[in-house]
Amino acid sequence: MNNYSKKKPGLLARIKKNAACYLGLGPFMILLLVFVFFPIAQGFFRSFTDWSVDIRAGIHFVGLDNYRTIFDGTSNTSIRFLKSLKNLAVYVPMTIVIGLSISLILALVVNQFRFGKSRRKFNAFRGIYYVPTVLPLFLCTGIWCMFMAANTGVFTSALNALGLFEGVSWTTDSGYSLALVVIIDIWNATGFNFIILSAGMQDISQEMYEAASIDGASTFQKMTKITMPLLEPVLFFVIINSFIGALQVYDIPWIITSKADINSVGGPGQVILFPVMEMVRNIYAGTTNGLGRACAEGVVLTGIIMLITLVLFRVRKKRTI
Amino acid sequence: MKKRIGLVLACTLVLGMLAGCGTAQEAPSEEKNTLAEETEESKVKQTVDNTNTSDNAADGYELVVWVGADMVLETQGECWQEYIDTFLANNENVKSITLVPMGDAERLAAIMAGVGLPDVYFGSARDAQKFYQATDLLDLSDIYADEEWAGGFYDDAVDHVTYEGKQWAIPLISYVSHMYRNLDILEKSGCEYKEEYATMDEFIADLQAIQKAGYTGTNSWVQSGWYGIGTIAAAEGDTITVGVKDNKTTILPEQLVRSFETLLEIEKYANNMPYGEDATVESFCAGEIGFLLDGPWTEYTIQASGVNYDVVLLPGYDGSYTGGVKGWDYYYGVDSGDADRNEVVKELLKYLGSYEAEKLWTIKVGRPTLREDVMSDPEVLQTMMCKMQAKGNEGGMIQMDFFHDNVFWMSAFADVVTLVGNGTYTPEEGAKAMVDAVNALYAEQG
Repeated sequence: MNNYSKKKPGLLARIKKNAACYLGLGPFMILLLVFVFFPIAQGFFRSFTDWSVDIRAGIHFVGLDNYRTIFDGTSNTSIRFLKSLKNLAVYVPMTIVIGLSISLILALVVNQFRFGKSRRKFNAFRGIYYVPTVLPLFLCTGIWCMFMAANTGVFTSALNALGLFEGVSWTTDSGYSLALVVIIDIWNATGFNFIILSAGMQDISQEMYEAASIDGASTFQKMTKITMPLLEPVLFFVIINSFIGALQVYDIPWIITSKADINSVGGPGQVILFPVMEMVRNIYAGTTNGLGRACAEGVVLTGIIMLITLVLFRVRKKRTI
Repeated sequence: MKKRIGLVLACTLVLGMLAGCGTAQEAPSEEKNTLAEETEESKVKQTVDNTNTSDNAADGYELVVWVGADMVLETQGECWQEYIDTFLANNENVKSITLVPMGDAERLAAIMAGVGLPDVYFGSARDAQKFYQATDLLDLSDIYADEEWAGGFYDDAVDHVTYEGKQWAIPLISYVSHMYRNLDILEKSGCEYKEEYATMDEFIADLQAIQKAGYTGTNSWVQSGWYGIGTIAAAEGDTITVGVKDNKTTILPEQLVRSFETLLEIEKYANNMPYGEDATVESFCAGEIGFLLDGPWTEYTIQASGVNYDVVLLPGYDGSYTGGVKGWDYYYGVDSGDADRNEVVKELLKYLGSYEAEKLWTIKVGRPTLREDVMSDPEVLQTMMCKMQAKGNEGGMIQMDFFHDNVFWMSAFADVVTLVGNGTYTPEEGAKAMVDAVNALYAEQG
């Protein structure tokens, strides 16, 4: 008898064999199905209906009406949603390029202290840079809004004293409010990305650096020829993670701009309105088809996230072939 | 062995989850009793029981009321304590009333989720139509049939809780947008003290004098969203024909031009600090600005700062009208489906909207209510805020057609005002853009 004549175990047998695993995973899978997959599927199907908060109205299939409304360019919803996409197109590259650059530079510099007597400095810097990440976002936003308060904020006063940004309201002016959101997000997220990149760098064998030193490589050459190529998998994860997070930006601009009136989210002229905020506004505005439209906007945003993720994976695959 | 351990762990996990899912509905009174704390004298005990009816311990309704986060503190908390004590003393079939304090946004989200609703909740009139759509509001028409009780409200107030021929809420709080004046700055600027301004020109003249004396006239009305420009527009009175016809606003662009021009005039004497931010209020308390555009909810902070202040309405243009955007808050009842419980809730709502209860609120808290009989009672008009707000109630402009539609038309000002403020639009262009924006809101509403 050889392996080729062995029959594949039946389904029941396989289940019996792995019963403990299935039972262990079972509760988690149920939670995932009920609280993640089912709502996603519901949201997708409801995006084709006139679902609203009105419990007396019923839900009816309306085809692509919601999608037409959010892209027609004339309705209030469409104007706001398209503006939110435009803001996103500016915000995402800025926050990722600047944020990741800072995290990478910090990781590269701090990593130099990893060995020998500088180990303490290394640990100290890691702790210091991670502190903003552990602060809740609402606290970060509140702190920065205080720092950047018109006329009285510590930073605005200092900048005004130097003749910079006089008369600027960092929470309502176009451009400046977007910059504030970017600053807060980078300040909060840099620590996390720094830790991940730093951990990735620690996995790179010290012997490679020693060999490079023997060959006369400079620090810059070591960084570009050893560190960066070997850090690529970790960097890719950080980029994907940052993209997904940036595309779903919500907390910071919401805290800055939300007042008692739901239509005020995003600030005057929707200067810092983003798609997730617009979805929430549609839910609470109580408009006809409001919930259906919010679902349609969610589907569009999901599509954008999936597309970008796919492109990034494809680009990476091509580069590694 | 490993398999057995794995199976045991998995079963423990599953049982743990099942045990955690849902709690017995009868438990609330015990849970809420354990929550009841008298931490300070100024905080209301959040649950009060009729525990002396020990023979009827199993009977009696346990009512839940969602209130604003500040309504269990200070004078508001004392007021609610008295409400609860009085109502329980007069209604032996009610075992307890539990107050659940919530922030405005949290309360709105919870109500619109439509699950686990209380018996009564406090909410903005602006969201009335949303509440009607999202929840089963209790029809209060039979308590409004009591003409003696209902007749005490302002006619407008009753009109704005009426929808499809029935009444759905109890009007409580009214506020009017106004200004706090730093009296020391006015004196140092050589301004003659006036209890109120007769015309817009008098107000602008004081702003000019303050600016000349080296202070800042006011905070930014351009950066204040709809609040600043809305306050100015409210000073136009009936000149602005607010309404809707064929799903379009009845406001004409030419009716708004003067408001935008006045806005630009006021903005000459303003810094760039928006309404609603702590830093702006602090700037006023620190004696940097002469006039602070704000609302009565900020008075606690200003009083605590010790600044010498009073409150004043934005005047009309020709002395015949005062400005001020009016916002209202209501109590709403939830239809539980239990007819007897609904009757008890109606009794509670009727009490909360009574002359005695609303008079207590106005005297204790110093905020005006929507009962005309209370607001014309001389005993009530003790504080300058109350007197000013009562006057504002007579004039001003309500923010939207509460209960009759969902369109907060004034919010459209927020986008247009910055474009007028930075010169992108002239006042005429801004006025046209505003009308277009309001029509877009109505179109979105459907």
